[in-house]
Amino acid sequence: MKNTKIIFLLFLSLVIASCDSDFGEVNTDPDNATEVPAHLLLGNIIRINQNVIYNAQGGGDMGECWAQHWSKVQYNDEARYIPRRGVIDGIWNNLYADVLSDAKSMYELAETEGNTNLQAVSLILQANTFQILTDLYGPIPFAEALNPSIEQPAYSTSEEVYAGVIAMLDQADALLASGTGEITATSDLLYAGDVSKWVKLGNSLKFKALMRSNGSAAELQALVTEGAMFASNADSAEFVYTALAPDANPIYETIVDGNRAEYKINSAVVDILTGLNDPRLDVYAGLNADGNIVGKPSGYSNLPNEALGYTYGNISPLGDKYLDPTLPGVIMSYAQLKLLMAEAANEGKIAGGITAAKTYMDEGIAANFDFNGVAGAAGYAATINLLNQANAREKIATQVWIALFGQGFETWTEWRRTGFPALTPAIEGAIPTIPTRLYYPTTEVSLNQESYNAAKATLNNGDELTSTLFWQ
Amino acid sequence: MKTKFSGILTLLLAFVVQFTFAQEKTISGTVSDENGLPLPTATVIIQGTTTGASTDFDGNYTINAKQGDVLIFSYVGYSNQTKTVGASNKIDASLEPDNTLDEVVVTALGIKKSEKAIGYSVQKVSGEGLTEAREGNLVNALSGKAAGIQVTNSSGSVGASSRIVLRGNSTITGNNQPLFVVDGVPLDNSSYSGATSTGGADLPNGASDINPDDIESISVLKGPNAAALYGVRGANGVIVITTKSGSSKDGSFSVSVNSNASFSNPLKLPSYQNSYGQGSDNSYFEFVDGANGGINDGVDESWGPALDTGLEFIQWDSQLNGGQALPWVSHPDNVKDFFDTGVALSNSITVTSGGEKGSMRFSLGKSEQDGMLPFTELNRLNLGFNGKMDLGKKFHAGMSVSYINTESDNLPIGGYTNENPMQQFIWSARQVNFSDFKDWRNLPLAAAGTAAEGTPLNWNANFQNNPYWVLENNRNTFDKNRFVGNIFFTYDFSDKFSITTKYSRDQYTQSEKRIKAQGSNENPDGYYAEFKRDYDETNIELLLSYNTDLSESFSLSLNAGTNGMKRNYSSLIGEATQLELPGLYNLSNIKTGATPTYFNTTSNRRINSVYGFGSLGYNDYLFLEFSGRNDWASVLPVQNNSFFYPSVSLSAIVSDMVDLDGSKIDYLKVRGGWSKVGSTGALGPYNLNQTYSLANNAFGNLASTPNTRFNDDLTPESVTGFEAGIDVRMFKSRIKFSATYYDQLSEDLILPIQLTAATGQTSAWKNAGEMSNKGIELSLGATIVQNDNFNLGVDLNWAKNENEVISLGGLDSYILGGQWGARLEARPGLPYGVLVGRDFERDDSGQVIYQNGLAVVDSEYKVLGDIAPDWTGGMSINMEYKGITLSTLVDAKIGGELHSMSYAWGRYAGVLDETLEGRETGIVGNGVMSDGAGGYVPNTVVAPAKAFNQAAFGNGVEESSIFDASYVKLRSVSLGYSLPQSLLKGTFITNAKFAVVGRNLAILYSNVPHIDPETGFSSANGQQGQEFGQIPSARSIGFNVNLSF
Repeated sequence: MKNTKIIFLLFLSLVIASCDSDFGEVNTDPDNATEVPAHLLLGNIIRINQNVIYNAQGGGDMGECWAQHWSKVQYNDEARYIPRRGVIDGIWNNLYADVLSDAKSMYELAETEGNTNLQAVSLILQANTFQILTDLYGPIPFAEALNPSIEQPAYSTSEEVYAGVIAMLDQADALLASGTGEITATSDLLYAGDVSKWVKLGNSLKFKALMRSNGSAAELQALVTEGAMFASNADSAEFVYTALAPDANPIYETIVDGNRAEYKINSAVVDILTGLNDPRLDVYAGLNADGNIVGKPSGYSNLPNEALGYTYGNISPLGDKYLDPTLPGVIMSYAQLKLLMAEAANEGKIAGGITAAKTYMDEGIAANFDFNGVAGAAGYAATINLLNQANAREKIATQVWIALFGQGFETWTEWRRTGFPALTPAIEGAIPTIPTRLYYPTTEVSLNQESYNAAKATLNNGDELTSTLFWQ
Repeated sequence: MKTKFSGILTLLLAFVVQFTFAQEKTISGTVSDENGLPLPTATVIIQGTTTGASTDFDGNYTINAKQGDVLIFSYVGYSNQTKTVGASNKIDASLEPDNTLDEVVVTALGIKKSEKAIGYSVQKVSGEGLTEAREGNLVNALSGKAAGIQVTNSSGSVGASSRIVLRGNSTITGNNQPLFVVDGVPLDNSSYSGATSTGGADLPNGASDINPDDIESISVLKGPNAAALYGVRGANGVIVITTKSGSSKDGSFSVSVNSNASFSNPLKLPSYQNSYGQGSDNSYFEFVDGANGGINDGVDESWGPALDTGLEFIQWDSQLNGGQALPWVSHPDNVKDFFDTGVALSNSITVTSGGEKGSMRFSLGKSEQDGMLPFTELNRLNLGFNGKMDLGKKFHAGMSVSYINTESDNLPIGGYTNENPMQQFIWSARQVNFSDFKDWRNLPLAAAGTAAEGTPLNWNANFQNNPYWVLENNRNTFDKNRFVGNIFFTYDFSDKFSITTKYSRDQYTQSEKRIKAQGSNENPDGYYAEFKRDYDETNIELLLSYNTDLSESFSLSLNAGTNGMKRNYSSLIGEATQLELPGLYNLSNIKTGATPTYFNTTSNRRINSVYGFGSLGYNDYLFLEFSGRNDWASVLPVQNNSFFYPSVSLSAIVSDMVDLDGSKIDYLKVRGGWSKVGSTGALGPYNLNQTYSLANNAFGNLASTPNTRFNDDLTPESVTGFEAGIDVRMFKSRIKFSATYYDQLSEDLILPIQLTAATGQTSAWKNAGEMSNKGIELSLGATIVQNDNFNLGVDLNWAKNENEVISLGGLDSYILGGQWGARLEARPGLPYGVLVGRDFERDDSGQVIYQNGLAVVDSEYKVLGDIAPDWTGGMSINMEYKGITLSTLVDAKIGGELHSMSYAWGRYAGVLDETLEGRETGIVGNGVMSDGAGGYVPNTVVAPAKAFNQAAFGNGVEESSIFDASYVKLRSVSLGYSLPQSLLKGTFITNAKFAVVGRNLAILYSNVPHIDPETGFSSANGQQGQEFGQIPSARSIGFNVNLSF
């Protein structure tokens, strides 16, 4: 009896002794870091941005199909202008919450570390992403975005965004000029820490932004004169993917790894490139079952269609280079810069007139041929004569359209801006014209109602695919 | 001298006579009720001893007793009677029913209370029916058994999870399911199911580990009043399970053996069309490689040529028949034949023993279940021990220990993935005889250059693999080892005052493997992942109890206690996303160049509590109960982590207070209560502070910022409830009726409020939500016939819950889940769980607008329905005739909607019977079309069947696939026969019962075509009300044998 009493008392003491209250420590996460060095955030900013815009359902079904580089022989609702709202929502959410938010955090961490170079890198990447967002959606939250104390940010107009983008690039340029701090090579997935290349990227992006927003000729000329933009293909901002999913090019991951064989070449590409005797056609398109390159026009709802010849076997797939897992995700290429310069010269925004335009265009063509691994750039360029300004405008824009193959959203944006080459809207499309913007995310109307409504009112057709953006 | 001797002799004689009188003799007699009918299994005990006997089926007993012994005759529901043993050896007893029926109910903290004293609604479910019915998941067995219980069985897969909600959902993102408590030990009911609309294996929830043979009874404590004593974890109600303990008092032991075999088949399969075969047009068909190398051979829809009309085409199996064209015919049972008959065998043995000083119970149970889907299974082993001991007069101790092992070699995968064979039956070719793929080892391989290259031949090599090959090779294993136990000591200081301490532990290790062979459509290079989870929860409890009578009229009981809870969870996941060598499933076999991925997480939390409760009774007919508890929870910010919640309830036995003679009312109780319970909602450990996460991939170790904004100033949630009710018994307790009205308000619900991503984050934690649940629960039990050897009783229960999300802190909607274009949301002013999607464009009178013969979709997202039922109910009818028992249970869930993607895609792909309409002639949609001048005229444009269906169904519009999810099911029928005692006399068997049990026998009413309306992807909040590729629920019929020795 006495023994049991002792046991009981011991048990009791066990009970009482076990009540502790060090809850603060208990609730400290042992698995995640409360601090990281700023550069560790850089990799994801670049990687996620590229994954989002190259995603086959975004950059492919919308970008490449609407720009009529690609066409589909089945499941082509998106290509007929019935896009997947979930994909559109995802682009907005990922670019803001994963890319821009991290870029801003990196800027702040770099500031406390005193690393001005990394701050500049952050600004360049933010500028790039904000520009992409406004090119896709139109008015977007910008001035009030990324602010923890503003939960319902108002939308800034597209013009304001462009002005802000250019200001960020200017600020980045200034920071890099007197820059201190290392851009850790293992985290810099674009340039492996080479500061001079970031300078060039910043300036090249600024040139593009100015061209898109009808910017001042003086600023454009200043950039050309300064001479600190891309000088060769080695300077192009390309994110190189690896050979295996999930770190391979999203296009490869969907079409090859995911067995979505319905993505094919568009007849617009086949027709235009054949008409120009453009050898890049053999790289852009593969051979169909009969060993020929045959394209399909955009549209048609009853697919595959044996009668019309729009079948898996009959229409050419994309070329091997563009289905390669290591195909880089391009932010901006040297070729595009040259072609933009050609356009600038042709429009009289920079010095040189039509002659300079021709030179720049030829350089751009050569650079793009090089990227595609095709010879004969010089001979091909020689066949493209710029007769007069109007004629040059069309020819340069067509070259841009050809050179941007694979860069869905960028091609679509440039096509919307220039209107060349002439494209026929998809047959049996849900709307009669090629879309000029993306819908706002389905969640904006409930999560940010007032701002959304205000922005919607400024669009000439409301929140529809057909509202036009200021630079169109 | 002579006198002394005769005196001694007389004394001796007297002693002898006395001794003779004192000798034991055999007493026998009959125990009967007030009508003279015999009472079987009534108890006869000699007062002051442990000697006892029970009556047989005819009410006869025999017992050895001495003259002068007092025999106590008792029977449940009847008043005891005592009779003294006299000269006669025959003693009969006639017992009167005990109209006060002082039932004992197990309430919070395992405390047994007289039913009279309880001021809130508690419903009891007996353990008996559970053993025979042998549900694989205990939660399913509760469906329809008590008012207000909503059970949703996710699917018919083995190991499917089941969701249970009492009185409606009370939190938006947190756990809405009640706490399971077994013998006072909280039992973790987590599922870790990864199943969603896009795939994943559904894993069983923790409560399914309980062996039904061990269950004595279940008390369902609904609402905060009942659960206030469990604090934070009881906010959604508590299911208190009491296990059987040894019961005999005479040192003997008894053995009970139960054996059950059940056979299952799909309860409902879709009605497919069998008139048209594979293809996107009806021109021609030719199989070359199953990936569009031929004509229509890569199409996974059935808009192709007509079947059974004499056509012959080269098909997938032509290459097995000399390459010639084969008849293009239908196989109407092709999906039905794919399923096996599921077989579940379970055996258990329990041994109980007991004596004056204590009792013990050992149990061993083993069950093996083969699923209806080939190559799926689930096996379980339960070992249990339960014992109580008196260590001296004042000390009691007890211990209960269970070990449970649940394992499976393969659990099925549901959702929209080609790992789910049901997907292959929706995106399908109706002419294919799927059973022909069974012998895949002897089939040639799929054509080179197709996605299925390297794997056995199938009808489609683009999007699918041979279904039997998938089920046999791609494994989802599961192995859980669980230990649940507790040990307690009670010391009685006096007969009024005692102290109990209890230490309990629930811990398990769960390992899972996910294997996908090379050549699998979604993982062409194969895939292998291993998951290891460790969970343990320890509770240390101390309780002081004081019971006394303050005066003749007043009784008082007071209790005070503390509880310390510690819960630790950690997981380790390793993934090889592509494999180098085929058939080797180990993390070392990762493909060159691929990066292995691994994750590990830890989460630890504590809750310390202090509580007190008591009750004051007046004259045994008026009772006031009160309780207060304070919890400190570690997941909340330190400055807000303490919260107090009180409760009070009153119960009045009106029938004892007031003279009700003359009315037929035997018992009338009026009760009411108010309480407040706190909760931590969706908040888990470490959700207060911002941290960066690291992830490693081919590009290196990359950091990122979280998308959720943390809030270090959160406060706990609270649920405040009020309830009132009555319990009535009439006509000598042949009619029992209970009604309860309740009103619960949940406030300060912790939500990760969604933000527009433009703020840089997609959500922020806040105390923002408010939700209310109001409802009525009714239950009625009637003993319709009670005579001779025949009893007939009916039990009905009915409940209506009105749930409303009052506010989301300014937000218009909170997304809970969704699939394709449909979303499941919480919206202010509507019940929890509304389905949001797109409808068609309609004119002012509601008619659908057509353009060129095709329905036009309105792209605006609207609320199209909600998943909350209007009312739920159950009815069980029980009959007993001599030894035969027949019981049936029907349950109903009426109201609420669900979104069936099987219907949407089934119509898009032309496989369901509705798609037969208009195949040859076209369809004229029932609606209106523009008249060109701003008005509408009836639609007259003929559209081809395929275009019509693909415009009106699919992922472009949701309204056409949303249905009223009401159902009435014949949940179980059980026919049993107990061998009469007369047959068993002389054998060592004390009881033998045979039963035939059917479960889920029929859907008596449903408005959803093709599928069982009781469905969900898993038991999680956001996976309800949505369906795709449902693995059919099981109709099972089983045989049960129960023997006691």
